[in-house]
Amino acid sequence: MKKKQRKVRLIRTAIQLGFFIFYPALFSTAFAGVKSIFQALAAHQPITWNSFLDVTGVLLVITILFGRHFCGYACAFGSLGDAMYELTLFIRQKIFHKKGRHGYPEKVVRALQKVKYILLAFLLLSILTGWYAKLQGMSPWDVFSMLTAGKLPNASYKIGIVLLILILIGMCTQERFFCQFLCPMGAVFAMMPILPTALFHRNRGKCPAKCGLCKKRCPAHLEIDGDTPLSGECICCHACEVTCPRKNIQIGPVKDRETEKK
Amino acid sequence: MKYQSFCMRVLCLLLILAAVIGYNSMQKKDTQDQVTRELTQVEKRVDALEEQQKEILAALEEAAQNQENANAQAETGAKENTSKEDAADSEATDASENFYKDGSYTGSAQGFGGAIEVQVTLKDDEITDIQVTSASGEDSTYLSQAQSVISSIISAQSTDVDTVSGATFSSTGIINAVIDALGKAENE
Repeated sequence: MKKKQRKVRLIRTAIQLGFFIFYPALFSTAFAGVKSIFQALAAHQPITWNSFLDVTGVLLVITILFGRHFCGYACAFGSLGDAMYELTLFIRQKIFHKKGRHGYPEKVVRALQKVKYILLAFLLLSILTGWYAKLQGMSPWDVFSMLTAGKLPNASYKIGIVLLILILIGMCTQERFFCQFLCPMGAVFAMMPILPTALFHRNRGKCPAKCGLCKKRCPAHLEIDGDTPLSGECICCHACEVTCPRKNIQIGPVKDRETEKK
Repeated sequence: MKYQSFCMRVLCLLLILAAVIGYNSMQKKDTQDQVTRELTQVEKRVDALEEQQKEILAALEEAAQNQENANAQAETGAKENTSKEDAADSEATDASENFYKDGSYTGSAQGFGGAIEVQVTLKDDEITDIQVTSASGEDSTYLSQAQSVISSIISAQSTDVDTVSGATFSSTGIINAVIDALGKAENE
């Protein structure tokens, strides 16, 4: 069991590292596509297809067909969050000898998950009202993309730098802190109609009465059960699938025959 | 219902898509209306101008006839002399009055992830063409967005144009590279 967990984690880290090096800007390009729609609306111009929307469109279609694997495996900012959290875990284990994965209680996580929708609405409204120009230099994503391009942000990005540092600290306190609570693109992804065949399903009939290991391990503390109001929050990290001691969790609906056999 | 959330989300997505398409078709209708309105205005002005032109032409014809009478009295040799002088004069002024030299000039400036190099083609003080020759540090998505600044530079015949929102660094780099190239093309 442990061996399989380690193997899955290794594969995931390798994919994340590859995307981090070669495509560190995908997530902000995708959001630039969403922004371009609202900029056209604000300027009273027809919405035209552009190269940003190419990226946004492809990612949204992939998400609808295969779930949020982009968030779990390809997004550079998500990978950064994983790196910060794993680093904190390592330090906690080695120096403070604390075991287990730390994080916020479920209720807090649920409440904070709503914040990203408010942030998305605020950003899009600010574009519509023309406020957005005043937010120049405040985006932590701009600072991050400058750093990945090997460029040092100048003094006009003071607020952006401070926000990025705050986010980095937050990333240490909860797994996928930014993706779950703040990411405006994550909010868009979470609202997409992901095909039920691409969602994680649990064969409840085979679960022992008081297990809940999958829910405890899930970074978003989701009740894994196919299509639920919260299933959009799943970033397809596959942690539940690997954690389950009975291999009860899989992508796609559980076949009825399997349940009957038990 | 089995896939309640999924169905709700599909419905929302379709509504959003319908809203976008509806908005676009409304915009199209608006611009068409505006174009027809402008066309009728232009037509009215053309009519008025044509009438004016007719009047002016009539006046000119009269003046030309007067001049012809005067020219007939002048000698042919003297005429040739003056025309030659005129030609020489105009050539000299052409070369010195142009602010920029004709030809292609390259310029470079800092973009997002490195230098952007452009080639600016000038003819009679007019920017006729701008090509991005190298931009290795630029993300291709952002660069192709930023290229739209080129058409605004050419149509404005000025580098004092707005940057492309969403691709600020790349478009600023292109503008600065064009400024650099124009600096090289200046007549001393």
